[in-house]
Amino acid sequence: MSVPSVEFLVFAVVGALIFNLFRGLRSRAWVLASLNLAFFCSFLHGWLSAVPYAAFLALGYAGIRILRKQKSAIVFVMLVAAVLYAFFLVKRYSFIPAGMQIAFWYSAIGISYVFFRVMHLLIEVWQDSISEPVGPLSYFNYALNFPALVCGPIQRYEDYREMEEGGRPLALDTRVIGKSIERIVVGFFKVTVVSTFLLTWQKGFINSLSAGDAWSDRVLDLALICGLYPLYLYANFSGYTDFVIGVARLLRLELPENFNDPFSSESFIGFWSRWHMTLSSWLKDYVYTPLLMTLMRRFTAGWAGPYLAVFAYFVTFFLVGAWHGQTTIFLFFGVLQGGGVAVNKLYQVGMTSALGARDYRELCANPTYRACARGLTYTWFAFTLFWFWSDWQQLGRIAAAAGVTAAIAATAFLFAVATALLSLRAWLRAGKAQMSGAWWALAQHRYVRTAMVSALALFTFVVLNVLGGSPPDLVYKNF
Amino acid sequence: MKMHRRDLIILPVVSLLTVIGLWAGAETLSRVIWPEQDEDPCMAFDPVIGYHARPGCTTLTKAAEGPWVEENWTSCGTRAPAVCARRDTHAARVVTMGTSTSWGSLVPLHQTWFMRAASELRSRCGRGFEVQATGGTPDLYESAARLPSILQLRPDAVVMVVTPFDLATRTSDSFSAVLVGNPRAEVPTHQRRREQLRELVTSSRALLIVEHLLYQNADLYVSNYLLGGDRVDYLRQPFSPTWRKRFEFVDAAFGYMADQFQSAGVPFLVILAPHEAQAELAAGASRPPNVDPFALGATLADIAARHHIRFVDATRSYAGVEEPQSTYYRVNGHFNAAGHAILGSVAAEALAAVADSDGKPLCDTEAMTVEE
Repeated sequence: MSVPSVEFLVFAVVGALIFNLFRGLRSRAWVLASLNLAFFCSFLHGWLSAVPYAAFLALGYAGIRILRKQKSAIVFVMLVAAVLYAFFLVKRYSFIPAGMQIAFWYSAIGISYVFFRVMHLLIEVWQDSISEPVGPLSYFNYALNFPALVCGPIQRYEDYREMEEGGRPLALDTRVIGKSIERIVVGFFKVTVVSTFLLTWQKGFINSLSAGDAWSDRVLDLALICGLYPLYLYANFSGYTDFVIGVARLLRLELPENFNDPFSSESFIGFWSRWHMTLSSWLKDYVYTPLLMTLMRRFTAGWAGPYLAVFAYFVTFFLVGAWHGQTTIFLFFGVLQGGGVAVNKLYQVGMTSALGARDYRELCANPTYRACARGLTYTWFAFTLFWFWSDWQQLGRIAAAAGVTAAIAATAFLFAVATALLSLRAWLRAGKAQMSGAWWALAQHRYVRTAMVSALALFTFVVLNVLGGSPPDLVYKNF
Repeated sequence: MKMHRRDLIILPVVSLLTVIGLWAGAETLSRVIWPEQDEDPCMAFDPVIGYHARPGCTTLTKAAEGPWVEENWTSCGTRAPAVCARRDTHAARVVTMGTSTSWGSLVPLHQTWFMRAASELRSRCGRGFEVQATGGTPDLYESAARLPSILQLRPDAVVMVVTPFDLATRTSDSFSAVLVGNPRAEVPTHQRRREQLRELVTSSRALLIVEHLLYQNADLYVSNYLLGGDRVDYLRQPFSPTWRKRFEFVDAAFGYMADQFQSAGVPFLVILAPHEAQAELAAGASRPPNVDPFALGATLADIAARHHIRFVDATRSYAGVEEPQSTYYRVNGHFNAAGHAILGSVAAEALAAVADSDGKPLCDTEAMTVEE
C-alpha cells in the first residue's frame, strides 16, 4: 500500500472510524495495533518476509527490558551495537559481506525510521529518562505506528505515550476533522501535483541539456536542473508529512512537524533546524551533543570550544547525508552536508572574532545581507543535492554537457534568482502579516478554505487519474 | 471561528460548487486554447471494411496537440496528390493500407510518411513514384476485406502499416478466410453505452492538457503505460497466452493477405509502427525487468518470413533518438510530422529493396531509363 494514496486514505479513514467507536483507551490501543499490523502486512509476501523485521523489533524490545533491569555501560554498548548491526543487516548495507546477508526477500519498509525510534527508546531507558515500564503493546504501536511507518516523522516515545494512555488523549471534533481533511488534501496535492510537475520539468531540462546548445541555454538549463530539485524534494516530503499528520490526527495522534519554512533559512545551520527536523534533532540529541560533550571533556582549553563544535557539526551532518544511501555518492553527499554546516560554523566563529559579537549581529540583521544569506543557503543546498538525486555517471554527463564556465555562470544565476525570489517571498509574508484584519479574516474563513481545499482536491484527482491512480513515489521511502 | 449546524450543509455545497465551477472553467478554457476536430464528415462506416473516406471529399481535421490539417480524398477514396483512376506508366505506384497512420491521419499530406518516402525514392532511384494511401482499419479482418479494392488500384507494391493496437483488435478468436467480407458483429447496446460513457469522461480537454504536460516526462509516461494490463503485454517477455493467441491470428491473417498479393504478383511490405511507449523504451528509457520493446517486431518478423512478406520494424529506428516523444502527438497517440519523417525513411529504405514477382527491383533505374 503506497502512501499517500486513495487506498491508504480509505484504510486510514475506516481505521479511524473503528478506532473512535471505542471509548476505552486500552481498546483503542488494540485497534491501533491491529491497524499497524494490517498496514505492515500489506508489504509482505508470505510470513517469511516478516521474519527479519519482527526479529529486529523483538531485539529492540528485549534490549529495553534488559536495560530496565541492568544499568551496565557494557550491556548498553553491546545492545546498541547489536541493534545497529541488525539494522545494517536488515537494511542490506553493502558493507555487510555477501555471505552474511539474508538470502530471501523480506520487507524492510520504513526500517530506518523504526531504527531511530528503537534506538531512542534504548538510550532514554538507559538514561532513566523514561520512568514507567514500556509495555509490549505501547512499544509495538510506537515503533510500528502506521501513519509514520513509511517515512517518519520520528516521534519521541514520551510524546507518543502522552497521547496514548498516560496523559490527555486528544479531542476530535468537527473542527479538528475539518482541519485534518485540509492537511490531508494539501499534502496529497503537494505530492501528487506539485512534486510531479516539478520533477517533470527538472527531467525535461536534464534531457534538453546538451553540449551542442548555445552557452546561455546551457546556463539556464543547468540552473533550472539544480534549482528545481529542492522545491520538488520539499513538495514530495513535506506533502507526505502533511498527509500523515492529518491522517494520524483522525486517530487522535499528533505527529511532530518535519519542516518549518526551510527556504527562509539564512544559514545552512539554520536550514538543518528547519528541514527534516525530526531527523536532525534526533542526531543533535544522540550524536552532536554527546560527541561535543566528550570532546570538551577531553580538550578543556577555552579557545578550542568553537572548533570542537565545528567538528561535531561536521560529524553529525555527515551522518545525516551518509544515512541516505549505501553508495559512495551518498558519502560525498554527507561530506557536503557536514562540510556546509562546519564551514558555516567556522564562518560564524571567524566573523564574531573579527567584527565582535555586536557588529556581527548587526550585520546579520542587515536586509541585504539576510537576502544574500537566504540565496546562498538555497544555492548550496541545491548544489549538494546533485549528489542526492544522480549518480557519478549522470553527474559526469551533465558536467560534460554543461562545461565549466556554464556551470559557474549557472551557479551565480541560481544564487541571484534565489536571492531575489526568496526576498520577494519574505516581503510578501511580511505584507501578509500586516494584511488588514478583515481581509485576513476573509482568507481564513471556513467557506473560503473549504473552496480552496476543494479546488486542490480536484487538481489532485485529475492528476492522480492521469497517473493511473498511483501517485509518484516518495523519495524518502528508499532511506 | 465557531462552526454552526448549517455548516454541515453549506460546506459540502461550497465544495461541490467549487469543483463544478473549476471543472467547467478549465474545460471551456482548454477547448478555446486547444481546439480539436476529431469528427470527420469525410469518414463513412461500412460494417465490412470499417471506416473509409468518401470519394472526392475534403475536410479539416485537428488533434488538440497538432495543427489544422486539410485532408483531400480522391475519387477512389484514397489520400494522394495524383488522380487515382489514371496511372502514370512511368511511375511506380505504391498503395498503402492498414491503420490510420497508413493514410497519414492528422498530418498535412506533404509531411506524411508515404509522401516523404515517395520523394526519397524518386531522388534515390531516378524514377517516378506515386502513392495512393488507404487506411483507417485497425482490424485485420477489415484490412483483408479491402484487398480487392486495393488491387483494383493496380499497385506495383502494397505497404501495410500495423501498430500494436491493431494486433489487439478483434484478434481474440481464430482468423478464418471464410469470415473475410462478413460484416462486423454488432456491439451490444450495454457495451456501446459503457464505451460512450467512458469516452465522455476521458474526452475532457482539460484532462488532455494535464496529460500532455505530464507525459513530457518519458519515465512517467512509460511507467504509466505499462500499467495498462493485457493491451500492453506485447512489451513483456515471455508473451502472455492471450498474446500468443493473437499471434496465431496474425499468422493466419498475414498468410491470407500474402496469398492474395502473391497471386496478383504484387509485392507486399509490412511496417510495424511502434507505440510511443515502445519508441521511448527503444530510445533508451529505463526498462523494467522482462520488458522488451523489440520482442513484438521479432515475432512479427518470424510470421512475415513464413509467408514471404517483407517486414520492417520501425521500432529499431528509434534506438538513439533523443526525444521520441517529440515525434508523436503525445496524448492522441498518432505520429506527428517528425514521426512521419522517421517512418518515411524506413519505408523508402524497405521499398527500394522490394522486387516484383519477376524479380525486377522497384528501384530499378536502368529499367526506367529504357522506358523513358
